Amino acid sequence: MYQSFLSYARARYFWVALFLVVISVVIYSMQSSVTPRNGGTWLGFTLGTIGLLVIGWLTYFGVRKRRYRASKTQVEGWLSAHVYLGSSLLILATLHTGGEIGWNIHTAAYVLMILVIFSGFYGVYVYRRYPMVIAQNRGGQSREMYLQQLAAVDTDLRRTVGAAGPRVRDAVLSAIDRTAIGAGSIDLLRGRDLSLAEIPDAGGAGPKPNPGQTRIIAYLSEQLASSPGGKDAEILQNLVNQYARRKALLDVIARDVRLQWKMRFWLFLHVPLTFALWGALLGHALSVFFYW
Amino acid sequence: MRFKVAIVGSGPGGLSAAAHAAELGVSHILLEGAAAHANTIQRYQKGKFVMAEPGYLPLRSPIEFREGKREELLSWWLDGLNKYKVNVRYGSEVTRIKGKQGEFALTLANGETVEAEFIVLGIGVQGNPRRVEAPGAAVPWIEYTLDDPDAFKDETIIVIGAGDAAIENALALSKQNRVIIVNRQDQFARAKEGNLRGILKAIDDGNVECLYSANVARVEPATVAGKSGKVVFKTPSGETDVDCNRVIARLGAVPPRKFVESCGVTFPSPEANALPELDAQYQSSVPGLYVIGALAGYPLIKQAMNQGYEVIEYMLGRPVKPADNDLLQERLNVLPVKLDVEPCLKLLRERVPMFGELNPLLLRELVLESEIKSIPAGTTVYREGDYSTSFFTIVDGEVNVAAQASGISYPVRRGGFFGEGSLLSGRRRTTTVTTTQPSILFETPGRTMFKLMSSIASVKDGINFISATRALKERFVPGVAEKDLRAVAARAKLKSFTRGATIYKEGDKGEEIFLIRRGTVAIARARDGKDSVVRLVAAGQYVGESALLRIVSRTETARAAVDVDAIVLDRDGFLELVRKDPQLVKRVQGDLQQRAAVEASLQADPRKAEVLDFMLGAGLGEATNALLIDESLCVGCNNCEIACASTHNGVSRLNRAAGPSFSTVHVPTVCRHCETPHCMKDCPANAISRSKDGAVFINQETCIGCERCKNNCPYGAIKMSVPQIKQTGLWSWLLFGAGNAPGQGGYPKGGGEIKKKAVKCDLCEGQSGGPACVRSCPTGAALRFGPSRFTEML
Repeated sequence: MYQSFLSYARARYFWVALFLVVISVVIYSMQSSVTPRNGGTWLGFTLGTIGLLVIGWLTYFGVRKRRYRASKTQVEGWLSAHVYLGSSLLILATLHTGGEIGWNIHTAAYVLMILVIFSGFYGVYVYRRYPMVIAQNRGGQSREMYLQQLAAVDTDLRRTVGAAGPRVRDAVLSAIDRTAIGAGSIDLLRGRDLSLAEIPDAGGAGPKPNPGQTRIIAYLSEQLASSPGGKDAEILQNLVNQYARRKALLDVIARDVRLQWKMRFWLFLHVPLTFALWGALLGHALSVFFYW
Repeated sequence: MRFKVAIVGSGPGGLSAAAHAAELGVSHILLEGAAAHANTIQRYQKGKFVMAEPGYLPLRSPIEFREGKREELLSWWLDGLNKYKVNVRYGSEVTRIKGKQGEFALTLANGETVEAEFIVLGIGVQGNPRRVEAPGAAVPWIEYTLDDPDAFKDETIIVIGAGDAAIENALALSKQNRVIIVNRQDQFARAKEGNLRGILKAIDDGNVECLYSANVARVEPATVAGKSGKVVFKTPSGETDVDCNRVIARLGAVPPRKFVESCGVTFPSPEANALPELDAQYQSSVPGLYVIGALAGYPLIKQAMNQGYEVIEYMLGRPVKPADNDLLQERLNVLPVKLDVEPCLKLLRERVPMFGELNPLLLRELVLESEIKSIPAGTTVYREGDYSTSFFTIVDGEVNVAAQASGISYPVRRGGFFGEGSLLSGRRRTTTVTTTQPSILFETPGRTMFKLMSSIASVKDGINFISATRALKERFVPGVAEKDLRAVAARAKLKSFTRGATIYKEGDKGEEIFLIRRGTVAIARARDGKDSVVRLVAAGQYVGESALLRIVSRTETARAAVDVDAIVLDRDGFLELVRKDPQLVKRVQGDLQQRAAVEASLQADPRKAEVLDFMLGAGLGEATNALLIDESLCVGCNNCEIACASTHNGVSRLNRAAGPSFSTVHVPTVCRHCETPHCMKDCPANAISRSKDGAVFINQETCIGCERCKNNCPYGAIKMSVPQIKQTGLWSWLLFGAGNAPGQGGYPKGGGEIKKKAVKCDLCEGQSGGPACVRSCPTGAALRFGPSRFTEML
């Protein structure tokens, strides 16, 4: 049955990682107290080698997940191991440093590794939490279906607004045309909506911000309230109703786009940081041999 | 004018007969009512692909024929007519035939008379098209054929008719025109499933307008400029009219039987589809008058062309063996007796009661389509759990049928058959069959058996009866011999329920027990005023056991989750079974206990019942292997789709984001390998088959790209695709950016016409480790299930 990658095969790789940590602690404690504890000793070198191998294996995940014909193992198992073994590095590599921290390439490699691991932790968090939030937000429909409904509502709105006065019409059409779904990566994370609308009598030139379509709905409601009634009021009432429906759809879509991005952006840190880590790691290893 | 032979009708049969007569220098005339040869084929839609079935049959005709487009066929045939200088007269409808062998007189529509010693009738069964009978309807813009739907643009076109021809025309025309389809009934009852779905969708989407229950009242001059005329329709809500550019009327045809009877040819029965009485040489009850082709009961082009050749030979008194003779001989050579085809077929008839029921033509077809196997004792024919739907007949020897699950074991001897269970249910084999003596078996593919069963009632009844007997034995009384169950089986009835139909309702009175032969039944109980599904019952299981418990009213509602066939046994029949094996009561009680446990878990959690309901609504009841995605785990990375494409030459057969969802269950658009696959029903090339492991797959070599499977699939799981290029190696892409990214396709290099073929999920057949979509899901959100595990999944 369905099983999260954290509990894959009864969390087998958690135990493997734990074993690795225990071994590392044992190696660390075997260190005689005469020489300073750091990566330069034979035991430190052993820990470093294990760490390097683990990092290499973890990086290979990017290749393995694209090996679609590989059939002996499941990608889910690899991810499970990736998460647990990656976490174990936190202790393993810290023991390897022996607590020697400074402004040098060795510490740079260590810090980069910590960043990679913590970006990964964030990834685990969003992968476990967001799918459910996204599914609940969409309520059984795909984004495609929402976009289709939005297109239908837009068509209706354009038809309805044709009968309204020119100022209302221009306002609504501008609001439709300048609706922004999605934004740049930072704006998405901050949840900013860059939608605009031309609101008459709002002071100043140019379109006004219309986040969540609130500005245009407020404008339409005002117009409705100050309308003398009759045919005009009926059209405005219709517009408010249809626009409310439009807002509801847009809210779901915008939230979906935002959530999807939040679930994914961490990879844009995790992967480049990994390559930076490899740069630092090579420098670290070479320089260590040079000094040796 | 007097000829040796007059051939009426220039269809495939007539053409071939005339060409052969011309080739032999026999004086002849070919009379065709229409203005061109092969009128039926001329009426096919432009570019229609015509098959050359049956593939095993060699062509025996001076005229060329193989599968190809309508236009190619017509030009080959015209070339043939010219090459042999066939004496053909077009526009010469024969209205009357008088006389006898040696002195026939044929009267033509223009009053002329043609005399001939022999006559070959090859006029087909299409007949002349039914015309629009209304005042003013005799205008040139009311047409009865549609040659090229793309030739019309931005016109208003009325299509009259509700059959496949009308629907296909309307759909093709609607791409560039305003189309109104006029149906004289209130629904499209006669159309094929794929066409029906197509037209209903087009009407829904507004691409085609539809007038139901409408008849042409009269035709008047146009009231709008630029139109050809106005058609006035009578509808239940009064008259309505449409100005249009043209009318395409596809109203079927007047059958030619009356004319044939007027020639003196007798028919054995008044039934509409009865065939004329003919001897083995196609000669009718009128000596010297031969009937060939569809009118003689041979609807395929190749058969008709072969008969055209043969009939001329027979007429000249030269014996020829039927075209399939050598093939049959080859097949029959596997048998230990070395006999010619005819005596050998006779022997088979005597040995195997079922074969005795077949007419000579169908028996020949069965032999040709079957694989004849001679196997030693102790060989396993198939195993419990295998997927295969072929049907086995024992010509010699004996087999033992056994099942671990039910503990049954019984012999089947010479003349008997086995394998009917999976044939009828579409499910895995429930028994293992092993030969106990050296045996000769006929293995017949499912599609051939279905054809036989629908043609010959006694074969169908025989198979149904034996299947019911064995099903009762297997399910209820394994210890009782088959022959002791015949009386009970004879009481049982076979009932079919279409998807969604109610088998019985909670509170109904009823004492019948339903043993499900095919499909899945959903059991529901009323809860808060609405039905909620508590259990799914698969083929091989039974519902309605209250008969045993003496509960008079049903305590649950049973509905067909998909199309269901059930063996229905009344209370007395069931008690008869109990008398034969008193232990049955205990076993049924055991089943009840198990069921109650499943139901309790579902009833305790109404959400589960809702999800189950949703899954049935999504058509999963007929799935054998469906991909379901747990949305609480899916991160939308699309690795499943990329994996699918990457392992299938760049074309994904899976659309993850599409498809319905409910709660956290998502049903993506991909093949679910139905029990009785819709796609397989109507494949003209027989390119779709089911592997032993259950994967329904399309053979890319034999697929002709006709799109029928795509149209017949209710789940949109089949798509048309060009042959794809080889995938780039991962490292060269990863390091050097060479070629396409994994899972990205592209067109093959080189020009020429690229024919699209149907592709679909094949469960990664031939790759180890199971489907790539599941293997490559990083979060464990994608799993594949069979219906028996649906409830487990909840």
